[in-house]
Amino acid sequence: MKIGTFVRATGIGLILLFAVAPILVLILAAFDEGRFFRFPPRGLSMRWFIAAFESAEYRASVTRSVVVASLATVISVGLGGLAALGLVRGRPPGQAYLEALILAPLALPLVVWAIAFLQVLSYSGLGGTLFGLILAHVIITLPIAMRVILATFTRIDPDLEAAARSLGATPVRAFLRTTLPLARGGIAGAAALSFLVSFNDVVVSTFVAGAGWVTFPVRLYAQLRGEGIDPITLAIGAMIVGVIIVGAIATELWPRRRGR
Amino acid sequence: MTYLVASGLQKAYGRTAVLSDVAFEVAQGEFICLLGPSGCGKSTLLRLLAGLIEPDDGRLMLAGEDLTRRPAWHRDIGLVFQNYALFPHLSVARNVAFGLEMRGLPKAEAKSRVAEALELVDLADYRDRLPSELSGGQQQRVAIARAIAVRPRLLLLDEPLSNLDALLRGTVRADLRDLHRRTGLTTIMVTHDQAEALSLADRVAVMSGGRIVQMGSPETIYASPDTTFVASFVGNPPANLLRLPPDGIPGWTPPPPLAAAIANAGSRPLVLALWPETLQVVERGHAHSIPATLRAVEFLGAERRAHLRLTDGQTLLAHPGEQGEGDVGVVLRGNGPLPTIFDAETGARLIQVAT
Repeated sequence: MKIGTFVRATGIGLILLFAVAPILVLILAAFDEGRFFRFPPRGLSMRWFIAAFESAEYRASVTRSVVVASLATVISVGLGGLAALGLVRGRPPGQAYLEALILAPLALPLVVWAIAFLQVLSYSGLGGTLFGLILAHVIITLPIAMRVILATFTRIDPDLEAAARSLGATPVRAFLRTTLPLARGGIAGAAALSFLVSFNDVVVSTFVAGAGWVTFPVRLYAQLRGEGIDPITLAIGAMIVGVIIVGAIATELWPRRRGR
Repeated sequence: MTYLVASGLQKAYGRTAVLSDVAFEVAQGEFICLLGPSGCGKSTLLRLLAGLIEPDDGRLMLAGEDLTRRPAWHRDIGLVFQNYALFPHLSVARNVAFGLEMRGLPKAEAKSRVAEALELVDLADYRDRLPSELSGGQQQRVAIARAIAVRPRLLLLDEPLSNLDALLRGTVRADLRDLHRRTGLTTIMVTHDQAEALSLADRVAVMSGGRIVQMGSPETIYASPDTTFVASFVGNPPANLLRLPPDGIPGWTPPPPLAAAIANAGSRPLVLALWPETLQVVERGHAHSIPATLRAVEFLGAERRAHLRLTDGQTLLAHPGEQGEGDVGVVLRGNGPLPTIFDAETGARLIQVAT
């Protein structure tokens, strides 16, 4: 019994360590004063964080990534949410096929899909535009958002809306007052996933973005292949991790003040 | 005074008819039970009355207004769902206030109406709890308070007792009767439990296969069933339904009035309904007795019940006498519901015979 507990604790500890280790390496290395990526760091310094804020090029690429990811998130959660609602409550004929169709883009290797989509974009004259880039991101984030929200809606009793209607709420109001607040957690999760997938995407953006819309991960990848690791990117990475941790803690605390 | 009139209501899903030509009238203040086995269409009918389902055909009038195409949110009909459907993210008070909020009632008035409704179901101290912090019985009372807070023109209850444990059921039954008396609300309740229907309702509508097969007072439904289905579904135990072969039940000479009625019914196959409490076990060979074998006497506390088998294999429940297991006879005691003859093919009642 004791030994079993010990083995299990060690196992869980090792798994967590492996999950967190790269992030720790990234953060520690970002504070190193050296001009090259090395681990463990030898002297602490904030110079790369300062350099990150001073580099117009990196600032612009991060901003671009945030803009693209935000728009892709809003669109995919909006449309994905509506699609999920239609699939769950509308019970259309061929529901399973419709669901599979929306998930289809995820079935191909992204590289293959991106090459094909690039052709579609250039035929329609959208190659190299922000709209084209966002469209590409939406097509890969929407299925994810839809799937998460679909699972959330499926768990919510449709009689809640029926009860609201029998109490005098129009169908839209019934949805807004019952299903939507109950689905908030799932929708937030879908938004977070969509944002991260879009924000971190290299493959699709590399093909679709064109010179005008180089996102942060694309910029990073180009840098890596050309000149090796730039410590500025480590600092930016560490800051992104910081933002995510703060965001995660905030959403953890969020539901507590909900209630009566 | 007729208050609610339903006529020719039809509903089908694809090719499956769920309701066929449902028609009934309800007077203001009446307590009606829709009684039937699962799948008989009673819940569909309730949702149709609430406006959550639209009928394919037919008409629904409430207090002289045509409700047929009016959406649920303009009907002023309170519905208590079988699973209560309380809003899990809202407190008890906000659940009850929901309908008032939708009607844009001033805050102060809404507050006093919520208090009044919670008082009525005896939950005034629970206003700030979440539904998940309440027992099943309390959740149901919140659902009732939520439905009556809007002062509905009709109160609909979907299987209100089915999710409660046996002990609570008796209490809630009394509570429902009390609530009805105090609010005077015209109430329609769906149930599959005939005892609930008989004990609560002013009138019972027995449903089967998407139709109302009989509607009447509990006494009528029990003692004068229109069809063999009603006779077999109502009562605990329900009536014995005996197949009458053309040459009669072997060894039985019915009392003269009954024998005459059977003869008058012609040569078609018949079913005879005899209620257990009207049958007495006597010694074999007693005048006009049905020869039978006593197989067991069941002790049920306040009463005892004899299980018998006729010589042709049909079974029968009756009031036991002093006889032990073995060959006995069964006679009509002359109390309770009258022996009733049905057409075996259509199931329709032909005649009730005073003996």
